[in-house]
Amino acid sequence: MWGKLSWEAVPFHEPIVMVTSAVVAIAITAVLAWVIVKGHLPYIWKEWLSSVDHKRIGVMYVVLALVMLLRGFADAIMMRSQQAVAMGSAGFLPPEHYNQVFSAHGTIMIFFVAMPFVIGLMNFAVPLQLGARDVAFPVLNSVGFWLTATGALLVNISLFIGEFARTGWLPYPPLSELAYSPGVGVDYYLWALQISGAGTLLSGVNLVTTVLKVRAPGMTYLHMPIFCWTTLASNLLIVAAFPILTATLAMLLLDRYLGFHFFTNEAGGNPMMFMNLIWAWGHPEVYILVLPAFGIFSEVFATFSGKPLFGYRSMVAATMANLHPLLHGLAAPLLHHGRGRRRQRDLRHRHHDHRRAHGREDLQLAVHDVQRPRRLRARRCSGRSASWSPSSSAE
Amino acid sequence: MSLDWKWLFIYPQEGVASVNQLVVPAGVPLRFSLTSASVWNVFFVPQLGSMIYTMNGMRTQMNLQADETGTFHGLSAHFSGDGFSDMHFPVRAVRGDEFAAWVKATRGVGPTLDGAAYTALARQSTNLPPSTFGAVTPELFAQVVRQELAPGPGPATERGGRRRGIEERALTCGAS
Repeated sequence: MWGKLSWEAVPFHEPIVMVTSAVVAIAITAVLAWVIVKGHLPYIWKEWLSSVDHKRIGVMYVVLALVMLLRGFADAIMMRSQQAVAMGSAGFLPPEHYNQVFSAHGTIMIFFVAMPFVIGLMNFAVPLQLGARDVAFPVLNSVGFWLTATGALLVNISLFIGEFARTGWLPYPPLSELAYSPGVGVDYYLWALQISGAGTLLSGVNLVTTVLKVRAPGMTYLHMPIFCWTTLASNLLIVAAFPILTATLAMLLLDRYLGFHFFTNEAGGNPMMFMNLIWAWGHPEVYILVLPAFGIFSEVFATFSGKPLFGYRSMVAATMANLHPLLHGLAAPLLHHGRGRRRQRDLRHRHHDHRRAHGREDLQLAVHDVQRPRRLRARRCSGRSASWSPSSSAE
Repeated sequence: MSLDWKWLFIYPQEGVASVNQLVVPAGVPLRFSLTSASVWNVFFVPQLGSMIYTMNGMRTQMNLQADETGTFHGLSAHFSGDGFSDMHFPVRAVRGDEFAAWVKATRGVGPTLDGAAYTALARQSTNLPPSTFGAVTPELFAQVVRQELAPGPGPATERGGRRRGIEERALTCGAS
């Protein structure tokens, strides 16, 4: 039943890990006991764990992020204290443990703190801002959250059973291949990220559909609060980029489990391809995380200054311009695998020669789409100041 | 050349090699050809200039020059596993005549760096003290880049912690 799993997988010889395990086990048991004794279990199950309400799911995302922040913070403390005492001596963490700690720290902070936190805020606020009753697909939303939580659970289990990856927050081959990382750590990493990555993709599809399709009557695109725009841009990038992450990690999985040679040293494998692919996801990921944060800043400053957001339309244009990694993704295959230099020259020509008649026409059409009639714009401004600025509503 | 977890420097014109130390003449342009025996590393001597990756099956190049004599700190700047943090090496930039004297004192003394010595060196080890080889098989670097000498074998365990037959694995790699 247990396959290759045996008691050897539990690191009994590492006091730090065992004490941590004991503390976590006691804490979980205590919380569970309190919940059951006080009779809160039906409430928590019905109203939270099985809830499809976007606000509850949003709160659970943020709680997950905060719990994992605690774990990531503990890792950071361990790294820094090791560095403080290890100059010219071995310190208290052996390399194989330290390398797990710093890999887990990076993985957790990006995938299980930053992402759930941002997604939680979007889940909570966006349907309210749009005047929608919920997100477009509430059950899918719940599924996405629980997939993310499962990934986080796997990372935490690796602390007590087996080990976590010792390869950094992005497992570059050939170090992450079976030959150089034969332990189960990289496998924990890969499964945790495949599962939570699928959850993130579902959440991305959900929020894109929500912004595009379930706005309240009268909530036109340029009436939307800026946070809805940054959410739209961020989730479009999720939909575009996360399949790349899944595919890249799937190739590494095939290398490790079925003897494929996508990224190995031998048999024609090419580790550089992993680097290229993982950053085709990693570059958009930066925008995925920062755009909603920009949106939050814009909302908070405008609201508490009691003024409508300055330069709303240019902010919208700038936000949507962050989709340029998408365009890079579309252009890259053409540039790299097109018909050589001629194809590249043609492309360059098409992009930059605005003197040609149809090129100019396209440009004008694009500009026309962005500019809105003056009458509508005036109405939006008055509408926004009435509903959005506390000072003007008090006058 | 980066190995798990040490640096091997081959001087093709002088026919000698050194482990975990680099002795170079000051004021002379240095042309490095770099590769890795197994996983990626980055060759970096901050006081001399930029850094570049070392990758198995590939050759990267870099040009450096030590304008003054002195001892500089060299290191790996890309995480490469458990012995990574000990992959330091001193770079001694010496006068031209001192370099010639070093080569003369090194050549013909100690072991020869051939395929067998390289394979033994490619096994994982940390904190090797600096050492030298008095002779080098010609084309050894090219054989590593062309993978005629198999990539380093990695740790001696497989899934579940069992010992792995290193010799057997190395043979499989060579055949594939």
